[in-house]
Amino acid sequence: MSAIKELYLKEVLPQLKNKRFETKIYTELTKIVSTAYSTNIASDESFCFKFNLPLSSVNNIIKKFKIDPNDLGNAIKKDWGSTLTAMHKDSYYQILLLLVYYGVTEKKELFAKNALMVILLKIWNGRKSKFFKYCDKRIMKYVIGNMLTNRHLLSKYENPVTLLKDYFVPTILKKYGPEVNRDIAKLKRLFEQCFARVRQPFGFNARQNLQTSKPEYQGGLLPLYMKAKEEGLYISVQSVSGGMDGDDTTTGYEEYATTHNRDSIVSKTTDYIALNKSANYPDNFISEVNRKTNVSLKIIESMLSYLHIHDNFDVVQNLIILILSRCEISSTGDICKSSFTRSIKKHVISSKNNEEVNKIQRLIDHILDKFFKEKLRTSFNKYSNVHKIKIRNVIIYALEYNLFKVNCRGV
Amino acid sequence: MFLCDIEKENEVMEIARKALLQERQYAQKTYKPDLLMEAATKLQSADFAKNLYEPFDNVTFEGKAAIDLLYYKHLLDKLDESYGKDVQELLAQTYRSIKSIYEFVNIKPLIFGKGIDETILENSIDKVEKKLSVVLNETIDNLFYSLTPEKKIEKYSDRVLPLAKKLVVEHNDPDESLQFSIKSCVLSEVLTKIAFPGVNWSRVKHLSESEDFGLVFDQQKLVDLVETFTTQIDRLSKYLAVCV
Repeated sequence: MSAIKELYLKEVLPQLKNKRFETKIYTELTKIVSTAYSTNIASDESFCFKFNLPLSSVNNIIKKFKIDPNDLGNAIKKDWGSTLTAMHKDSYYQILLLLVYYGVTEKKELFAKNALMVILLKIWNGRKSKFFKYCDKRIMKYVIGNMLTNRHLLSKYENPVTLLKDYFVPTILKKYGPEVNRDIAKLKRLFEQCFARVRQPFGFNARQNLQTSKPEYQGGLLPLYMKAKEEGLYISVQSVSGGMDGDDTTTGYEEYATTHNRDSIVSKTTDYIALNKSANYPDNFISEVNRKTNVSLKIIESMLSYLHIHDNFDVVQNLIILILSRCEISSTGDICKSSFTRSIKKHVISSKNNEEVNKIQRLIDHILDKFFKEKLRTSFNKYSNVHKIKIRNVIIYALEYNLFKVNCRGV
Repeated sequence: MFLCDIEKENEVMEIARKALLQERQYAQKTYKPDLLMEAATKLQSADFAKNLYEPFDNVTFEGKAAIDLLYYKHLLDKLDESYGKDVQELLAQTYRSIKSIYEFVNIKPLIFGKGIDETILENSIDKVEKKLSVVLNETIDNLFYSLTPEKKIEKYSDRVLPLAKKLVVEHNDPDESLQFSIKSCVLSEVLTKIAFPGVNWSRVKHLSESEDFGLVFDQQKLVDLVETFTTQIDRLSKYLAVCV
């Protein structure tokens, strides 16, 4: 008989046969899972989220079983061989694997699921730290919302906890549960699969960079995140308590009202732009933009139409947030005043070397890069900086027009 | 014996000629430019100066216009008063065109003359006029007087002769007509330099012909503006040629 099975039959199973003891352990596991669930749901960290590891709770479980961690380690070493990693030797995982085994063999599905979930929490934290030492939730949100295809696993789940609980736990148990039920030695395979499966969404298909000799991942979140970071793409976190920069100062009613009004302007205008693919702009508006920018009428029309494609939703949303912030717009009334046009000219078009304006430029360039590539079969970068300014202004005038149209004419 | 047979010899030469032609055609067909050649072709059409320019701004243009008008004041010093109104009007139209071109190509206006900038206006009128006069004399010298006769012919004959011919046909003195045409041509160059100093004029010309620019911008509008400007400068240079 395998050493693990022997230890399990001798020190784990008899105690779990005691209903009260089993309930205590089950309650402990459920508590860990529900805490992880509620903290993750309350957080807006997206897939940058790291769980508070239940190290002491798991340690308590080991103590409750009165198992010597060394005995457990030795049994594992005896069955799984001597070439084990630190993870294999971690008593946190070892005890939980035995609890998974108990749930699988005794047909206690929830028990097995909760134990497996607690294993996955720690694996998630480890992979998250390995791949994203410094993780910007705004960039991560952009990646999840814009750069993943609908078929990508992470685009189907809102946060790590639902991904682990609703996807990894059931699929791993379904695939490896029966094997483990037949042979306790298969716990190693189940454990290694947990690691491999959780790691995969972060990065896969690694190639060694010949210059740095470091692995470079071709697939997964990491390369997409790095690309978005390089291009300055992110989704601003709009919250009532935190401003654009996320400071945590207490918010008074006025600020709350401003943010609330601004949010409503942003969502109304962005929705209007994104949902009206065939929006028509009046001829006099197009002529005016042509007069101000000297961009040809044909190109202006084409750019205006391109602005309305749904792919640009997040970029347009961020642009509107930044424009409203630059012009210090607190209500729709501010947009309907004639001073709004002057404010856009002063604070957005003519302003230089300002962090927000630089962000606006980067976001517009993102749209224009795509537009030039897809529609004109050329590169936006071919154009000089002074001409890029004129081309960017077309987009700014279009956003100004839509802000006015949606919020003042009530379209 | 074989070589003496002319027909046979022609036949052999024909075969050899065909073979050589075929080989040449094959070589042409299979020729692929190497990477360096390809890069050289692409570099020819690349716009390296694209990021040298700063955007247009109105304040700089106003400063430039103030100094440019001082150049004109110097040049128009001896103008017959009866032309004064026409010239003033033409000058105003020309500067509107110049501003439109600068705005269109969105480049920062430059002030003509080495070491001359807006701060010159802080000096006394006499000092300013003296300095600008030196700049103008140097420019005219570089554009005309310092050139060898061959260079003068090479540079100006194409433009000078048609105007001179026209004047002669209108029963003007041939020598005076030629002199007037030369002055007019040189002054037209000076005025263009005052309006678009340094590389600015070549930039305007480049953009009015650039395919990439034409793809996005209303290039025809720029071409029209440049044509209007050239006509206005030609007219101005003729007024000036009378009084310089």
